[in-house]
Amino acid sequence: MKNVKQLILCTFGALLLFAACNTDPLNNAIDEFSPIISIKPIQTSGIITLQDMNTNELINGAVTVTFSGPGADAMVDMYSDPVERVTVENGFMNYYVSNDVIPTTDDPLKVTLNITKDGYLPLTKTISIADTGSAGFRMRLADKNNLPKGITKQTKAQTTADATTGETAEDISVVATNTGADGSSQDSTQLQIAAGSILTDANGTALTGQLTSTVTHYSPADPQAMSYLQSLNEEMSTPDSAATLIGLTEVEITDASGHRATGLQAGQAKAKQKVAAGPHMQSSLQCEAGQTLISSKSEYNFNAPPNFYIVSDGKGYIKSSDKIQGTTYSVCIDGVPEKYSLLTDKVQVKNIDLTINLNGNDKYTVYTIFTYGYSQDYSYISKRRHFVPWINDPEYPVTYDLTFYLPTPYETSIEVGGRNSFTIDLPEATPKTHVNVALQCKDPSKKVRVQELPYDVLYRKVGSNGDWNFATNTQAEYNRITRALESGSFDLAGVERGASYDVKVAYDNTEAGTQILMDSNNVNHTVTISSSICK
Amino acid sequence: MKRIHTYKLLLLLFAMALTTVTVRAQIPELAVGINGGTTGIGGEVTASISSKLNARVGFNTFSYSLSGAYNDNEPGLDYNANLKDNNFSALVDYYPANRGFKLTAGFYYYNFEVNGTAKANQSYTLNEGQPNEKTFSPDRLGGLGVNVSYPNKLMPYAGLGFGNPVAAKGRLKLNVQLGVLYSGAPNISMSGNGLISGTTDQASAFQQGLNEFKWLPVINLGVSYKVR
Repeated sequence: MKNVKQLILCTFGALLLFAACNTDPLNNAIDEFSPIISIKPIQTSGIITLQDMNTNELINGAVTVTFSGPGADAMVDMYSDPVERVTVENGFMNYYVSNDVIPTTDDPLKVTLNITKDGYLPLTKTISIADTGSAGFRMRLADKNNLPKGITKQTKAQTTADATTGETAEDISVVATNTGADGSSQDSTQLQIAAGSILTDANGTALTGQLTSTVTHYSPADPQAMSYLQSLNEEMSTPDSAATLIGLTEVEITDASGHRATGLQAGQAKAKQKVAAGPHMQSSLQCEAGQTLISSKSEYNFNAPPNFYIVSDGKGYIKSSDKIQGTTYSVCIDGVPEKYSLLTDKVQVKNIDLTINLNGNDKYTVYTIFTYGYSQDYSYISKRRHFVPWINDPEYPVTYDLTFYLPTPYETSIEVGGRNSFTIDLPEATPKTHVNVALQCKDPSKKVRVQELPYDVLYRKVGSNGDWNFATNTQAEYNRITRALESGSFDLAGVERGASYDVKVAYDNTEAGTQILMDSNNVNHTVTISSSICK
Repeated sequence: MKRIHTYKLLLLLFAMALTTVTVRAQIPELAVGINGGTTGIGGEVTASISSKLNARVGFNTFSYSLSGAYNDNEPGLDYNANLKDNNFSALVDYYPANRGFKLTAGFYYYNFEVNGTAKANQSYTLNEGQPNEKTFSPDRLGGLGVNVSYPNKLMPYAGLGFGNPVAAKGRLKLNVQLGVLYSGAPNISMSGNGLISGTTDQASAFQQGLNEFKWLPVINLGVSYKVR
């Protein structure tokens, strides 16, 4: 009977074992069950700051960035959905590139950004993404009400256009001035539109009522103004291509309803542009009604450029493959307000061999090359050939100012003329500060329920009005046990020990801002997320 | 270790049974019955081996379907689950006294499986009202699949009960069975597609919870009829 009793006890014991099962882990799993949005990891992403050219502050309010150019189709959002246009509010834009495209130095992804913001001059820039991972670009926009000194704007009431037919009552005359290399002021753009002409907007609607002309001039002597122009060599694939600088002036004609003229339906327009960067930098053209929109007759012997661009109205271009002396050409208007910095016949786009010794600085270091009438952004990682304009004449050596963002700006210059091979030794990099961040949600009961969060980090010393800089080596750690994105880390360059920095963790065009005291080379900090990725 | 002890216990029970068996020369008494309980609904056949020992084989089955909506968290999910339970048992009942009380040991071949699917039942909007607002359709969000089953289908059983289907008095008997199966922890696997496929990471948390459930309780009630 002893065995029987043991057996009974064992049986009840087993039942008790079951009853005594720890149900907490299962209950917790059930209670904490939550559908998680999985974001496909994106190999190539980055950030573009949209900052005020004068103040360096990130621009608040809606800024719209439209993608165009050969790489536009590769642009996606954080969820790998294609995007053509993005509107952001916080003064930066996170960009993401489809995993189907692997940009390399030899085959960079070129995307043209058409940036518009109420109250600011539109900006068109092409960025070149030459690597997977993360890169940062700066876009500086000019406030129309607080233009940088190199950009001037003149508005003038012109004649009226008939309310029914749109025919202009009198001639329209626009004369803009330019700044020569010697600092002198001279007429650069003259636009004459004969009375009786009909101006139409992009939809073909005739402009009516009071017409107003607005002339925006970008001084070729001003780096900021030049940075507003899309450099021609962005579009060139080979060096030694000649082009012609015919203007840095944007002329806009609008009617009382705000319709913007993009062409002539009838009548005649003549435009003459002249830029005196040097004795070779001048040209003129004449526009007439008919054909596509406006036709042009050159008075100058251009050196068979593969493409010949104009900026007379800020949105047009002429395509040509032959010599155009004495020939009439069609001007194709594409409606996109692009501006190009163009070069004269004797100014040739040549490659310069620039060797840069990083000296410990980041491979994503960006730099600007500027000379009169020309400005172009480069990044070290792109390692593009530097197709810079220079005059093929010893009489006209060209000095280029180079600014490297390390991130503290480092300036140097080279003179291109007798030689075109240079070596730049950058200052030795300061040790980077490694920042570890713990992510927490604004609501402490929630967690960041995404597996991947491609993000970038902007930082700037508290109280500084300099550029927002880009962190590198951004990492994020997803905890599979807690099913939450819990931490991340990144490196900051050029950080001053003991100083506090404003830090913006930027993801999906949203930011989580914080201040971090950089009291060592390895800093721990907590960042609070308020986005609905917290669940 | 617990599992080893369980097997030892069963062997002991069988040894006890064998030592008490006095093989009858005549054909064993037989009873058939039906029962229902935690192992499902089914039937069994009982044969007497000795005055204190019966052998019993049975089959039980159970299935259940469940569907509904889980909207506690966004995105909401429509789910659908099917439970299938088919089991065969081979048991020995030992009657220590000449009454109905019995001790039982044996094995179950237990085929237990739960399959479930869940699919997003509504669009889901991230960052609503913000410039980076993003709405995903249910198709884009995708769905989940889940499977729960026991890796070892052959499970030892130990229990006690009341009622002897082949007892001399009367043909119709009421039988009660209480016991436990050592099932080992069930396995859970999750699969997913679409944007919510990452939810399958939570399988590990569920598995952790299920690891606590290595014993399966058995409570069955039945009636039997002595046919011989």
